[in-house]
Amino acid sequence: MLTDPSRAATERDDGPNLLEVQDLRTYFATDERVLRAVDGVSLSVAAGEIMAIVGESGSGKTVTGMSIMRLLNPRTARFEGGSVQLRTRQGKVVDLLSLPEKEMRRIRGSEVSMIFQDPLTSLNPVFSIGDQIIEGILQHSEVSKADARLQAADLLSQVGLGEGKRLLMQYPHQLSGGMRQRVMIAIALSSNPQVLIADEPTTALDVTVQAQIVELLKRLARERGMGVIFVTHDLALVAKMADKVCVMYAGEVVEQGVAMEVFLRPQHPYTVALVGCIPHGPSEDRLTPIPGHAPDPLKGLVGCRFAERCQHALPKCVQGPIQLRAIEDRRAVRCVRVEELS
Amino acid sequence: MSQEILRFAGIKKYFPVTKSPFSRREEFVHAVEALDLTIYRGECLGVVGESGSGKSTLGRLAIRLIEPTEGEVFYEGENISTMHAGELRRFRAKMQMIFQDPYSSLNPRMTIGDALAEAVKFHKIVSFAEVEDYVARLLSRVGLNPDYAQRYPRSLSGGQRQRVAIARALAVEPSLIVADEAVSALDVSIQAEILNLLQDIRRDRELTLLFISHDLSVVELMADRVLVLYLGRPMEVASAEAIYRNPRHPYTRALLAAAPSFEGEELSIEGEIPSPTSPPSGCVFRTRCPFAVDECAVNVPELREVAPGQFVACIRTEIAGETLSDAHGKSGGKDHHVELR
Repeated sequence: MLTDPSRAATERDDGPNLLEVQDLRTYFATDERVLRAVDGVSLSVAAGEIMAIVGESGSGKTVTGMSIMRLLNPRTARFEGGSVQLRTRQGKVVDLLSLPEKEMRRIRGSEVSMIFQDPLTSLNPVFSIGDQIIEGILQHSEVSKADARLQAADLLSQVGLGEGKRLLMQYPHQLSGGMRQRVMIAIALSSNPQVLIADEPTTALDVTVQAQIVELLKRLARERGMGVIFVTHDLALVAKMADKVCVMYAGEVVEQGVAMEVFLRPQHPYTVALVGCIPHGPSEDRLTPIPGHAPDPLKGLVGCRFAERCQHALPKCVQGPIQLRAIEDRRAVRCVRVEELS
Repeated sequence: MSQEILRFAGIKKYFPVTKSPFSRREEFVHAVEALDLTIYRGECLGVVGESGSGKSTLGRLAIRLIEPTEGEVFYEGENISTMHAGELRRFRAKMQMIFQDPYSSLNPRMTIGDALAEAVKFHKIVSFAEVEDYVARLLSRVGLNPDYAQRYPRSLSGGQRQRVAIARALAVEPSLIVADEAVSALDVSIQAEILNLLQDIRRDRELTLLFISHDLSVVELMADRVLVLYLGRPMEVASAEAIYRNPRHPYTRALLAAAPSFEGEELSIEGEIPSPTSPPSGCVFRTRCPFAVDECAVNVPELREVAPGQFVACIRTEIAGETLSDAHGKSGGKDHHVELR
C-alpha cells in the first residue's frame, strides 16, 4: 500500500497502519469557482499512535478530518481524488471514500469516531448522559438495554468519571466543560473504534483541564491500541502529546515527521515561521510574524503556496508543482530549497 | 515605575443568580473577592487564571464598566467608584478597553473612520477640522492603510479588526488600557503581529496596560508583573520573572505545569475550578491542591511577601522545595478521577 517514497520514510518501524489517507482532494464548489480546501493530503495512523494535524484557520485541517468521516455535505463538497483506507476490526481494508452511504453509516461511529471542540453543542440537551451513551451502544451491538447501561457506566469510569452510575442520570448542562468532553469521548469509545478523530477537543478548555484530557487520550490510545488523529492549531501542545505530526498550509501538507522533532527543529520555512510566532520567554526582542496572509483558496496556485510570504522564495519555487519529499529519516518537507536552507 | 495609576481597595463583586423563579433563596457568584492591588504607571500587569477566576470582572471593574459590590477604585488618586456619570465620562478618555472579539466590538453599520472619529469628537481630542487627518494618522499608527477609513468592519480580517479596536482605544489618548483576551481569537501568526503592535505602542506612549489572558506564554512576553487569580482571589502577585522562574503558590506551579509551552514539573492537578457560587472555605484552591492540609480549610490565607516583591497567598511556605509529584505520591490513588461538583 505504501507507494509514495516520502511516506515510506516517515513510517518505518511503525506497526501496521489502521488508516491511510492517500492524496485526498476535497474541493468545494462555490458559485463559479472551486475552493480547494484539501489538496493532495496523505497521512497515516498506526495502532496506539497519535497523529496530529496542525495548521492555522483555513489550512484545511478540519476538512481533512471531516472528509475521513464523510461528514461534509455532498452537494457542495466533492472528492476530486484520493483514497481513505481503513483496516477494520475484522482485518479487511476498505476505502471509505467509495463506500455507499449506507455502509459508511455503519463504519461511522463504530470503526471511526469523532469528537469536536464544543461538547455542549454535540450533546443533546434534553436527553440524559446515560441515554446518549446507551443509544450509541445499542446502535452498534446486540445487547440488552440493561447490559448497555452497565457498559455505559464502565465507559464513564474509563474516561475518568468515577461516579459513572450517578452521572448516567444527569443532563449535559449539569456538567462542566471538561466533564462534557469526557462524556463525548466515552460516547466515541462506546463502539470500540479503530480510529478516533479529535478536532480541537481541548481548545475551549482551561489549561489544567486540557492537560487532563490530553493525558486521557494518550492513555486510551495506548491501552486500546486505538489510532488517534488530533486536529489542532497548537504546535506546542502537539510537541508534548503526539507521536507524528502533519503541518498543513493552504490545503497541503508542508511538513511531516516526528512531533517533538518537527517542533524543535522545523525544516519547512512555514513551520519555522510558525514556531517563531509562538511567544517563548520574556524576550526583549520582538516576535517575528509571518508577513502577508494566506493565499486566496479560490485562486489556482502554481508551485509553493507559501512562496509569496517566504523570505527564501526564488523564481523556481513558483514554476511547477512541488512534491513532499523525504529529506531524512522520518521527515518529509514540501520545499525545493530545504537542503540549502538547513 | 513607582507612581501609582490605579488602585483597587478591598474590591468585591458578587453577581446574583436565582436558581429558579419560584425559589426565594438568592445565591451569588463571588466573581472578585476582597482584592487590594496597585497598578503603577507605565507597567504592564498581566492577569492570568482559568475561566471563572474573575479576570474579566477585574478588568471591567478597573474602568468601572460594572459597579463593585464593595470597595473602591482609585484612578490617579481620585475615587472613580463614587463619581457621577458626567465626571466619569470625562475620565473615560483616560482609560480604554480592548475586547477579545473584534467582530462584535465594532458596529457593522459604521465605517471604520466614523467609528474612530466618534470618540475623538466626543472627547474633543482635536478640532473638528482636524478629525479626518487624525483618524488617518491613527490608522497608519496601527499598521493599516488610511484608506480603510471608508471601509466597513465586514470587509476586514480578524487581525485587521483587532488593529481597528486598538486604534479606537488609542484615539482618545488614554493612559491606561485594559486588554481582555485581546489576542485569544487570533491565529498565532496574526497574534504575533498584534502583540508586537501593543509592545510598540506601550513603548512610545508610556501606556499602562492591564493585560488579561488565559495564555501564560503571551503574558510572559507582555507583562512586567503578573497577578494569578483563582475563584476571584489573588493567589500570587510578583514580577513576571519570579512567576515564571520561581513560582511559589501551588496553583501557579500547577498552571505552568499544565501549559504545553513550558518545560517544567510533570503534573496535572485534578478536577476543575469549583462553582463560584459556593467557594470552598479557607483557601479556595485547597480542593485541588496537592499540598493541602486540614489547616487550609480554616482561614483564608492573606497575601504575604515571601521574597522582595513576591506575594503569595498560601500558608504552607515550607513546600517550596517539594515537588508536586512528591506530594501526589503521598495523597495517592486518586488518579484519573474527577470529582463531581
